[in-house]
Formats: sequence, structure tokens, C-alpha cells
Amino acid sequence: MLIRGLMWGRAMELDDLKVAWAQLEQRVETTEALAFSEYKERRLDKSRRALRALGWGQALHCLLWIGLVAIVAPFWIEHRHVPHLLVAGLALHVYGVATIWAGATQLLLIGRTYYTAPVVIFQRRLAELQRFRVVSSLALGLPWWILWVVATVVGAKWWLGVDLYAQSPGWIQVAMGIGGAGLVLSVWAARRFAEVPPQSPMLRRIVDDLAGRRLVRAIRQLDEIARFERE
Amino acid sequence: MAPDRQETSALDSPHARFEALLARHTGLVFKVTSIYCRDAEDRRDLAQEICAQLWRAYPSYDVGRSFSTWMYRVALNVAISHRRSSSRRDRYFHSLDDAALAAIPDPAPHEPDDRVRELYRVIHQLDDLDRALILLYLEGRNYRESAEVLGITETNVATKLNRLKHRLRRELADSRPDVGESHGTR
Repeated sequence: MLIRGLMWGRAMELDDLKVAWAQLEQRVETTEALAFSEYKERRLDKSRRALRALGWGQALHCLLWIGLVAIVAPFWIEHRHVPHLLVAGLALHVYGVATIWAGATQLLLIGRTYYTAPVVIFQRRLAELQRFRVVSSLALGLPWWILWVVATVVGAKWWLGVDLYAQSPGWIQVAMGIGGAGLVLSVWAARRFAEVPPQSPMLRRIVDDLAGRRLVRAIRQLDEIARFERE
Repeated sequence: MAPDRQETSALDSPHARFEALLARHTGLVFKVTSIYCRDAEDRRDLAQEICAQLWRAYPSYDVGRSFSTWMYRVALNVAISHRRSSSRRDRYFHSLDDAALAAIPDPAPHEPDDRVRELYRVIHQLDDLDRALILLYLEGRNYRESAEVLGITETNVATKLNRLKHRLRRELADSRPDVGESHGTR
């Protein structure tokens, strides 16, 4: 006779779930032990190290920008009497400080996120890290539509002694105008085409960021965790 | 001395001690994977990731404390994070409602026992943290142990578990086939 989920004509009860759970335990121990042996063979060589890699990446990023700020600060001090070079230098300096602060904050958030923490605490910290990463990526990424022009002006003066703005202010203004338009267009396009994700995982991530989806997901996760913590 | 500590203190290297402990609790890893993953390949990937994270975290394990509590925390944290990463990649696998659930292939298509199929069905409708709680309940963990694993109060565990049980009873009652209604009582 086929054993069905109905026992003696009644629906499954919670105790039946426990019986089914006990059966599952026997089953996984016999049929899924292969995965354990595979782990023993592969050991830890191919394990993902996402959080650790993120930490190293952020540390290097911070060091890079500390080096750049160390170059940019003397630059705008030296050219403080030339308004456009002062403004360009200061803009890069402020951006560099913001980038270093964001990187250091992420390192702190990563440092307090460890898998041995209680589940709710770990998931909340991970979601907070995710939310911070999304917000800082947008805040620090979008300005590059215009910042590349500023960096080019500062770089050309610092490295080659050429003042691009003095030589061709129109080009600089047009480039910044195009950059501004590009910024607006990229956000619009991401929101417009968010429902049709690109094949490339990297592009898909950029689209999700610009459309605000990753931020919404991170906030949703935090709400879910907060609800679970409430009695 | 607790059984875990008796056994592991006799082994020389940390890796040998770790593997001995892991071998005793392998079932825990696979049960966690079974409630957070829907196909065998995903379960195997997750099992390996959990084992890797357990090893990486092993130096921080305090032998004076329960190994299973420590292991539950790591396994559940890895599983929930893995599921969230998968749902971001897939874009189709978020919190399940009935329609979404019906559209996804049955995780146990060849499962001969309807009780186990039903178990999968009701658990896979829960969100990540509720799955963790129901896992601890099915494993027979008391309120104190569950609270310690999850990081919430014992009162919160009791309240949530009662609500979950009510919900599961409703789910199980609603899933009863029509033939049962004419033959039996609830």
C-alpha cells in the first residue's frame, strides 16, 4: 500500500514533520556522505574567501588613495592662487578623503562580521555592510562622470606642467557637460532597463546598483531581521 | 568531560581534531543544506562552503563550549548568506509565495515518501530566519540553545515558534488531498 502523507485519513501534523525529519537524517547520512568525502579531497583550496578578499581589496584601495591625497594636497596648496587649479585640487582632495573614510568604514564593518556570531547578529551586520557598500559605491562611483576631467586637469599640470583649462577652457566645460549628461542618462537607463538584466554579471551588478535595487534589497533584509528580533 | 572534548583531546593535529568533530556532526551540515537549497548540486556546493568556513573559524572555537551550538551558528550563517547570494544571481529566487513555489521544480522529484516531500514544501515556504528556527525545533533544541544560536531571547524563541507551529499546522491542513476529507477526520 502506498504510504501517503495522510495517516489514518488525517492531515499531517507537526509530529509527522518530526518523523519525516528523522527519516531525512537517515537518508542524508547515507546518500550525501559523498559530499563530505569530496570536501576531504578538495580540502580548503577552492573555498571562497569573499569577505576576506573584500577586506584586502578595501585595504589596498585605501592605501592607493592615501598616496594620491599625499600628492593632491601639496598641489592645491602650491596652486592656491590659480582658482581653477585650486578648485580642481580641492575637489580631488575631498573625494580622496571621502574614499579613504568609506574604505576604512568598510574594513571596520568587515572586521566585526564573523561567521561564529549568533545568526541574527551576523546577518544584521552583513546586511549593514551590504547597505553601506551600495551607498558608498554609488556616491563615489557616479561623480567619476565629471571627476575624470578634474583628475586630467590636475594630472596634466602636476606631471607635464600643462594647464589644460587655461589652454582650452571650452573643451573642459564641454567634457564636464557631457559627463553630467552621462551621469543622468546612466541612472535613467539603469532604471528603465532594470527588468531586463544583462548577461554579464558585472554589468548586471552595475545596473542593479544604479537602479537602486541592491540598496532596496539590503534595506529589505535589515527590515526582515529587525522584525525577527522583535518579540 | 563532554564527549566531543574527550575524543578530540586524544588527536594530535588541529586538523585531525577538527575532522573528528566534523565527522560526528556531518548530519547537521547536510540537514542545513537540505532546508536552504533546492537541488543536489547546490546542496553539495553549500556543504563544502560550510565545511570550509568551519575550518577557517575553528581556531576561534572555545573547547569549553558546545561544539554543536558553534557549528549551527556557522552553518546557518553560511547557508543564509549563500541563499541570498544565489537569489541575487538568479533574480527569480526570493521569498516564495504559492505561485512562485509552484513554478519551481520540486526539490525532491523522486522522493517516494510524501511526508518528506511535504516537509520540504512547508519549510521552503518560510523565510531564511524562520527556516533556521524550525530547523532547531526539528532537531530537538530547547529554547535556551535556540536562543544562543540565533542571538535572540528565549521568550522570543518561544513566541516565534508558537506562531510558526500555527502556521505550519494551517499549511499542512490546507495541503490535505480531497480524498482524505471524505474518509478521515482531522
